Amino acid sequence: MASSARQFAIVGLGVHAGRGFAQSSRTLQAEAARLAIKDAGLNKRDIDGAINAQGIGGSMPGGGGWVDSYSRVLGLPAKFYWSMSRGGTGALIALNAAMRALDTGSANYVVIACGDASWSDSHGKLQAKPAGRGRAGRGNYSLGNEMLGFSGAATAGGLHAFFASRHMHEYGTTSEHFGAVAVSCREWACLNPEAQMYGRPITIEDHQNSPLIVEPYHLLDCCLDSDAAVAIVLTTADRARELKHPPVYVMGLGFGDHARKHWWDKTNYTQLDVGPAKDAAFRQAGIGLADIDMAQLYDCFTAEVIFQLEDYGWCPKGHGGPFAAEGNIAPGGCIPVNTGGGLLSSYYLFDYTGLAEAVQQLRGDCGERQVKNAEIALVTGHGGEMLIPGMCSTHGCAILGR
Amino acid sequence: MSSRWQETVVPDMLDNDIVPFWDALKKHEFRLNRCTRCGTHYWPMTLCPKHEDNGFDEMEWSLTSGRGKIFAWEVVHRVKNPAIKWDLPYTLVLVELDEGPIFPTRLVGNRPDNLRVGMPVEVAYEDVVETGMTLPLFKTVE
Repeated sequence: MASSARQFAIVGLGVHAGRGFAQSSRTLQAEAARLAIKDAGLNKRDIDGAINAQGIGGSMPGGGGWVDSYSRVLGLPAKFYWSMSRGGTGALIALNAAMRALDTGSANYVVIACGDASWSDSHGKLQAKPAGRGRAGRGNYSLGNEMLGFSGAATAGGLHAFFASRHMHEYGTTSEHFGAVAVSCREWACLNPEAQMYGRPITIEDHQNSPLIVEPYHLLDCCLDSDAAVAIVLTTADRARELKHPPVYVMGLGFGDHARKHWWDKTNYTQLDVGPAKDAAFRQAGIGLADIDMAQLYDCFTAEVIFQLEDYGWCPKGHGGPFAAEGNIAPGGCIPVNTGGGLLSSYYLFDYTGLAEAVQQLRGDCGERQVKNAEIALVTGHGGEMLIPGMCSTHGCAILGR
Repeated sequence: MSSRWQETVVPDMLDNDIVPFWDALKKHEFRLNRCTRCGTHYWPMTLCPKHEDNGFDEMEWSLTSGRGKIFAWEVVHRVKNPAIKWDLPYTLVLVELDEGPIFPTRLVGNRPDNLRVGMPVEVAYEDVVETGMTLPLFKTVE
């Protein structure tokens, strides 16, 4: 498989997202998978490969080990069911695995699904914690994790705020710059009736007045809590053309992992490992940055968007804050970013939020927020171990096209 | 000596690769993993990536200064875990140790008004009698 360009396509999409479902992660995931199969115009009996790619869980340290199968719940006749995880880039590593299975003929139609009941969990609506939540312990793969406990950094905000702080130090980025990302994503969400924050516009002043969570981050710098699941059906291009939706092709897929740079070179506290991921994905797709019609950039926190605007080259390194503040990523800006509202304002489901939005945009299903003549979308993922000081080392880059 | 820290690190959280570090802290020693071939320091346990043919027997937990400079900082204002709420807001720092590695820790003492990257800091051992652990907190150097 020298290149992924247009050999495989997303033909089905299932989104089950909101707050307060009080359903287990497994049930959320099964519902999304059911919807995706139906959306593709397929039957459950057609599905011969299933991947459970959770943000948390699966093989992640502290993830609770094995996760019960949504393929069991739905009675899918899958030849394989794999559990895999890489935090916020789980969807893209699953795409990589699914393409290989399709390429070798191990399967013809593969479902990839993720579900996370984080809102119901954090609001006491679940009898038991979803699989995958809990502390790393028992002396396995916990190296460095104990630092989170004693230092009190055991939150995603606590881990990520260091990077924002470092970008401020190196480039003079301000909290208002971070706020511009939050406001831009909210403007998109206000065009998306499915977004959790639809109808709730914010200003920079609202951002500045929102409570500090982990300084420099305010509440409005942080992604949402949701009950959400997304599933896609992936198949080969020839099969895709027989199905009811216009295929959304995987044109390119690449990864970067900056663990070594992170821990030992100390060079990457203001960037993600975009370089190798972008090079591979863009080369496979045969495109350049100017060909990207919209970008679904991983936005667990606002600074990550600024890093990626710089690392992909929409603006010079260090200029991501002013670039966002000029309105470039908002509706009407030069590069539409997180057009459904993103993790910050639509719903939280790792890189699946951006993947689902890209598919909907490329199908032309996005109503008021539709990017005109959208043909090529960039989707990114950001994930890995939640350690400190080096964490979330993997960056994933997918180019999708119609 | 305060019970407020007792729930933060317990011995069964530790894997064998990091136990020597925590054992040394009990003696108020700040040890880093050091390559005996080239002298480079690491934290936590690491096989020195500068060589192709070295082995773990060439790494040792070596006594170091316990001093460094602030590399990045943040102030935690809200957490959900009740066990770590008692000191809010608190300052966390990534310390660039004088020997090279970056070390994450809590800054204790009053938050300096002029907290900044590059500020010198040093280890401040906190013995937790309930668990027998010693925490490597850090403080600014006057």
